[in-house]
Amino acid sequence: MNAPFADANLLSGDGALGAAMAIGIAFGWSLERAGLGTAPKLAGQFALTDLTVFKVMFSAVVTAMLGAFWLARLGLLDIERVDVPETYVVPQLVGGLLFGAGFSLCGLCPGTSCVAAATGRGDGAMVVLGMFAGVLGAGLFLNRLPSWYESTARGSWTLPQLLHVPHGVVVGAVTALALAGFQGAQWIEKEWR
Amino acid sequence: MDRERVALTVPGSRAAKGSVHRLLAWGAAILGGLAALGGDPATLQLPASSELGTYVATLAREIASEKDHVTALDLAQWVRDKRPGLRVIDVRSAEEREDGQIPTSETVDLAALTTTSFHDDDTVVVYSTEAVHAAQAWVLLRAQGYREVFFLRGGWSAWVDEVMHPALEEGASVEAQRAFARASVLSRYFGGAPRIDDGQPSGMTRKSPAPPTSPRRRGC
Repeated sequence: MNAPFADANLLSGDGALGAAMAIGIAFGWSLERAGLGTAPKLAGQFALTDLTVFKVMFSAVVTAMLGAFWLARLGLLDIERVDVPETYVVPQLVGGLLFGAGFSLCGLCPGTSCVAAATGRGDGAMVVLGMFAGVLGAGLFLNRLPSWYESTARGSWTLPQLLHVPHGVVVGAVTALALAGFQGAQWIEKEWR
Repeated sequence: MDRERVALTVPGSRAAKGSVHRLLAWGAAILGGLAALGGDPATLQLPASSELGTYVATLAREIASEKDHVTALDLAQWVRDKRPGLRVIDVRSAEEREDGQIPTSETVDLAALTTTSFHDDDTVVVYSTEAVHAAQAWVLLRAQGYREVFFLRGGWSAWVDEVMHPALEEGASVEAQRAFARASVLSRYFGGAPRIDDGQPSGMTRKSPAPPTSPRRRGC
């Protein structure tokens, strides 16, 4: 028996939904505990005075990456069955820039805006409303531009495929980058505060 | 006991948090360093016989979830976009190939497929006249451990109908018109002739022309 359990039919539809709910609650709780439900904290990221967002998110990336790699290496996770979303280089670059602009403007991202709204903050609720309005707008209008949003498709593209190196080398390199980044973040916070 | 020693023993103090952070950093460094030597978690080897049932079940799930094939229009988009690592494999006979080939495709006999070498990160798309041989080729390549393998749904016939000669029926829905617009762009790229059956916008062929013997190769 190995993961992912939902794909292996070990979790029924309701069970998978229940697991998603539990993981979502834990994720929200962790974000709130890290202080990411407050806009000034997130805005500090762009002022280089508080790099908590970078540290929390990169910690999560490294934890998930090392966990997935070693679980797969030990035969407990079938990594080929873990879904990798498709890459569309140009549309996703544009979307990323738009996302970054919105993030720095309102000081919240999708996850943290939900956390902020759940804790009763008005700014969080406004960001959630704006986010859903954006999703609706994109759903209504973007399908009229298929030649654009389906352009530069690369399929399920991963760093090992891009760099032509083994998966483990990428894991090691990203871990080293994260550790160097944490050290650098500490230094920047000390210098800019 | 001095202040520093007290801080070290108080849970939640700055010094205690610092040591936890250092411990976690060392843990990550060790796991990351070992990972760099660990290669790939998924290998290109056929699983051991004890795991064969699981492997076959995985293939069955891919087939059931329709992750085993690609449509002619999606393949056309991939070829047009010069998708990195894309290899289009034509397993038809020499006689069947006289009708034409998909641009960039390579000819490989079905029997020789298992000795043909691919990179593990190649995206391999196999096609035949319809889809039967291509689907068999998909099984052979997946059994060899190649991950990004697809067969062309509908085979060469689908390429001719959907890419070279897409058609829009009179009174088609808005969705069908959008799909046709996308297909037309791709069709023209490959030298095809999109057509509207009720004679509407300009630039479209009114009647179905005879299929060309070979699609025009453009930029790929």
